[in-house]
Order: sequence, then C-alpha cells, then structure tokens
Amino acid sequence: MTSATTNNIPWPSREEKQKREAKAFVGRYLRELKAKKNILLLGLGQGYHLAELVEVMAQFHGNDFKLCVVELHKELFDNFSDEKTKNSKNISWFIAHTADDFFSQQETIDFLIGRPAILLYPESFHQDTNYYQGILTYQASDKLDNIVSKSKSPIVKKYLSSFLGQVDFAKNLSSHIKRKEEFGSMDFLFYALHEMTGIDTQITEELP
Amino acid sequence: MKKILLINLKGHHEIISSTHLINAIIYQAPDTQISLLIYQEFNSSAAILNNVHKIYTIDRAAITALHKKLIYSKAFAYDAFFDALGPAYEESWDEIINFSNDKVSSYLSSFFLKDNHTKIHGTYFDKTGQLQYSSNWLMLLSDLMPQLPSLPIHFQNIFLQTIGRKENNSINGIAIDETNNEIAYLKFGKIRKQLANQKDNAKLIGIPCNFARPAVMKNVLQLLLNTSFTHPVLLATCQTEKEKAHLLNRHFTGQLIIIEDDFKSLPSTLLNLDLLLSTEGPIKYLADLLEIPAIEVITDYKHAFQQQTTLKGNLILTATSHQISDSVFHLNLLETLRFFFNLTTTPTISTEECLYIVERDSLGITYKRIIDSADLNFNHLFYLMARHLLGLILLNRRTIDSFFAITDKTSAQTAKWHQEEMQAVLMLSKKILSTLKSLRKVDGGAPSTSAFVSALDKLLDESDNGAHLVAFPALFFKMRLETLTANSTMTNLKNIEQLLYLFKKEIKIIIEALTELEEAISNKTNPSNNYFPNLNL
Repeated sequence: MTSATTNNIPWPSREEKQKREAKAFVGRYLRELKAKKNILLLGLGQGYHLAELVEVMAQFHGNDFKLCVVELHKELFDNFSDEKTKNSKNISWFIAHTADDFFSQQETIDFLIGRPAILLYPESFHQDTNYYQGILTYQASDKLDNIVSKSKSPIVKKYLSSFLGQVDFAKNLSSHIKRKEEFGSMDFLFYALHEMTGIDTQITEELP
Repeated sequence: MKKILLINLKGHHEIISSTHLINAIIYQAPDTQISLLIYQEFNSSAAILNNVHKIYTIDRAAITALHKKLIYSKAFAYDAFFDALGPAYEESWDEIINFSNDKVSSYLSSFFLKDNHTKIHGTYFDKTGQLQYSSNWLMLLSDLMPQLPSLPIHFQNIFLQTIGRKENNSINGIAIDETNNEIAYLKFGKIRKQLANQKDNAKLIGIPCNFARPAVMKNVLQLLLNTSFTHPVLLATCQTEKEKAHLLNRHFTGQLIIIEDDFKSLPSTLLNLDLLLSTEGPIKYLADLLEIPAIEVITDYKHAFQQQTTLKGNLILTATSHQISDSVFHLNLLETLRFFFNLTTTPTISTEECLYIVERDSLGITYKRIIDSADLNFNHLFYLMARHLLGLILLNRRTIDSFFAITDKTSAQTAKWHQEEMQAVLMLSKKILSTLKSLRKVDGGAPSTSAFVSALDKLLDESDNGAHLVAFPALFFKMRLETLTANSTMTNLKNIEQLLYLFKKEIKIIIEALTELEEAISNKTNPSNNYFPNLNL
C-alpha cells in the first residue's frame, strides 16, 4: 500500500497526526503541569495524549507525580495498548459510569483533596459531553440517607441513622442536635467538627 | 501507670511551651503515659518533645475541605474526623488536659470524657451544653486575661495550678538529635575560629528572623556587627524566614552568619549560642526549655507583662511609652548587652525603656525591675497589685515582693492609678450593696423580682471592666452565678445572696490592700514629697 503524498512529501499517518495533536494538547498546559504534581485527566480517547502527558510530567517531576484518568468507556481502556503507560504506578484509572460513581470512591476523594490540575481531553468531551459536564459541575447529595449510605464508619453510620426519619438534610442536623436536652459524645464530636471547619457556626451560638 | 491526653490545638509555640506541663507531670510520676492531640500541620514541633507516648493528629485542612466543598459528600468529612479521633476515643484516659481551651478543644474534651473516672483539666461542655471550667485559674486565663492591661500570672503557672502540679525544670523535655548536635558543634567551632581573626572572644548572639521589622532588624544587626564583643547569627526556620535572611545578608554584603534549621535541628543550634535576642515565637519557648540565656525585647509597651521568657535570670528590655526612637533603643540594647556580659554593673537605660529580670516568687514566674530610671506605668502597677491580690484571693497567700516593688518606686503616676482603682472598687461596692438591698426586698411578686434582676444586670454590666482590679472578683462572681442550677427560685435567691456576700468579701480584700499600700507608701515617703496628701501623716 502506498501512502498519499503532496509534492512528494508523504502525508502524515493517522498515528503521527494523533501524536502531533497530543503534543499540542499537552503543550497548552505546560505551566500547570510544571506547578502541580497531581493531574486529573478527563477522557482517555486513544491514549496518545496520556503517553505524552506522562513523558512531560516525568521530565518535570521525575517519578514524583500522580495522574488520575477518568473514562466512561471501559473498552477504550481495554483497547489502550501502551502497556508501559497502562501499568505505570503513577497512574490511577477510574472507569466510572456516572459522576456519582466517581465521587463516591475514597481513592478519588484522597486524590482530589490534593487539589490536582484538571485537564479535559476535548475529543472525549465532545463525545460524552453530559458525562464530563456532570463531573465538572457535580454537587454531592446533602440528603441524610445518602450520607449514611456513603459513610464507612459503623459508629458514624449508627449515629447518623438515629436521625433518619426526623431529619432529611445534613444542614438541618445541627439544629436538631441543639434541641436535645442532653448531649452525648458523638454530639460533641459533631459540634467540634462544625466549629473547626467554620461551617454553620450558628449551632454553637447558644453555647458559650 | 496513668494515661493522660493533652489536647493542644494551637500552634508551634503552644506545643513547645506545653513541655513545662509535661515535665511537671513526669517529674511527679515518671511512668505516666502522656499523649498529645494536635493539628497535623504542627507535627514537626510536637515531634521534638520528649516524654510523649503517642501523637494523635487532625488533618484540619483536608477535613475542612471535605466538609465545606459541595463536591464531597459530608460522609467523607464525618468519617475522616472520626477516623482521626477514633483511636484516642478508644483509650481510657485518667486525665484529659485541655491546653488550648478554645471551643473545638472544649467540645473534643467532652467527646473524650466517656469514662466516669476521667479527670478533666480545662474547659469542657457538660451534658446540658454548659461550658464548665475545671478551676478558677482557668476562668482567669480564658475569660479575663485577654481584656487585662497586663497578665499578672504567667499562663504556665496558671496551667500548673489548674492541673495541681509544681514547676520542675530538671526534666529534659526536648529531644536533641545526636547527629545534629555533632554537626552544629563542628559548624560553630569553625565560625568561632574564623571570627577570632576579626574580634577576640566575640559572643555569638542568635536573632530569629522575625525579631523586628526590617529597618530595626538592619540596625540591630549593624550594632552587633560593629560591637567588639558581639557577632550576630541569624536564625531562619521556615522558607519565608530563609528568604528574609538572605535578603538581609545581601544588604550586609555577606557578612552575616545564617543558620537554617527545622525543629529537629534547632535545639542543637541554640545550644551553641552565647545568647539569644528573643521575641514572641517558638524559638523563645524552645530556648527557655534548653536553658539558653536570652534578652527579650518588647518594642510595644502594651505587650509588656504578657507571656515573656520564663528562664530565671533572663533579661527583658521593654518600652515604657508609646514612642521610642531607634537610636534610643539601640543605646539601651547595647547597655543591656554590656550588662548581660558583665561589662558594666550599672547600665544606663533611658526612661523610655525599662529592664527586667526573670525571677520566681510564690506565684511562680515574675519580672523584677533592675533599672529604676522610669516611673512605674499603669500596666506595671496593675501587674504588681493584681499579683498581690490573686495571691490573697486564690491562694490566701501574700506576695510581699509585688507590694514592695510598688512602695519602692512611688510617683504621682502611682497616686493617680491608686485613686482610679479606689474609685472603681468603691463604686462596685455600692452596686453590690444596692443589689443586696433589692434582693432582700424580693417577696415573690413580679415587681420586686424584676427590680432585683435589673439591679443584678447593672452590677454585672458595671463589673465587666478588665482595666481595673475589681475585674477579678467580678469574674469569679459571674462564673459562680452561672453554675447555679437549683430548680427553686427561693433556693437560687438564697445562693445568689451568698455569692453577693462572697463578692463583697473579695472586694473588701481589694480595699484593704489598696489602703495598706497607701499607708505603706506614705510611711516611706518624705512628707515634702507625699503623693497621698489625704493621709494624715
């Protein structure tokens, strides 16, 4: 098979084109990549940009960086044949079906707490706009039953469950505790948390 | 073996200064297991404390983000907070010491207070949500100290009183790393050798980078460079300080010695200094614990008699007035240095500043004037008299030294202060009497009860004045009032009556002390120079 040419210059192969695009994609974010060691990449696509990203991150940070790749389609991950990149210890993979799936995993939370730079792969975004838009604009449910279902601590679960049926939303929990005649250990723990994080400080207004 | 949890949710310097408490506990019972609860960002200073069994940490930044940001389910914040505190919650504590006494630490003290045998020191919330103080001393620290013109009792002594232990400095409370010690010893050996070519037997004076604003810092460094018997060593412990130090060194064309340390290596550096010029911050507290001599400099007179250096024999050079020129400050500092290194026995300190030495009396750490050029200002008078009164009220003990310090240095200023204090105390006495009167008139009817409540309100409002000595009994009255829990109105009224009499008794102690002071001064004073003309000499 002969490849197409213009003025005897062969047309770039599809692969070469994708590599070039990958370089251009990564080139746009050099400043962020240099500044941050944690990167959240939304969209795997064919994975060329990921290989390029790993290369650039290694140049900037050696082995001290972490990439988290989020992709909707499992088959794209299965078809990604760059084994070296795929098995890199610096990369975590999230094949999440919904934004809620993604934000429900402890590993995701631990990663996001490190305030990563977020890179959105345009091709993936065009293809699955709703999915990525959902991740970018996600707001966790404030419903108490949802929080109870997400908590992994049996003691916290038990404490929160005692309010089910009386309190619907976490934001109302504080005023409900305040109405108690006698406080228990876990009530004080919640007060301490609210005070420490500066949220809903009115709950402590009545206490000195 | 006792297990103690010390909750310390403040910064590096509070963590380091809590060592005094740990030392006192360990001295009394060496097998006590003391664990700390701190914020994770202050782990580096907690790591250098000896005699700490375990350190529990709260990752405040991460938990706050999980709790505040809408993308995270609150479940993650709740779990993370409980996971951080769970291991300490599982333990059975004999004592809980709330060292920080803020709201978070008070809630957490109550959270950990699950066993009946646990003794708590510090503030905490009872089951009904009322804030409780474990001692009168703590009321002072939490409620009154922030409003006072000066702090009559050092917070270390207040804490020791609160936990019922005595100060002991024979325990080695700071971990000193052997390798760092060796490195520092060699490094300072070289420095001294090189310096010997320029100045014979020059003393190495450590200065923390946060010692003063840049202009003052430059002048002090210049002074130490120019003086034949001193040479400055700039101490930098964080990135910002390191940058500051290098900027200063550029100004001095590389003549400065800069030592960059973290908390682990800092003790070794301090041990190699001849003197520290200290200011507020963790280095000061660390130097005190390592018994490194220091001169503390206070440029704002309002900061005098607060939380100064605690090492016996250390000097404090403090401003006595609003304005103090740089040149006066430098001359005074030079004189203080000469005095410290025994180059003079009679330093000349101008009246804008005063020189104190750290000592101990029956109430613990105290500061005595060693240069008498300036009159005692209101802050100092308050400090001395408040110390005398707190000894009388809380310990039933006379701290005569404080009393004598006033009588030794009487001026028109003393008389003016005395008059204002007397007025405040007499006015409050009248209010107490009128409240007692309206209490006696309560007959169960609404008008008499409402008149009494209004009188009590007025009394509480009037007494809310931290600037005068009456603030102490007023605070104790308020706190006692808050603990009244009887269900019957008549019982409560009876209890209030008793509290008012106790209040009156403590006010009487102030009146007697002020009168005694007036007499003592008049007895000492030459009649031609009598600042208390009302007294019949």
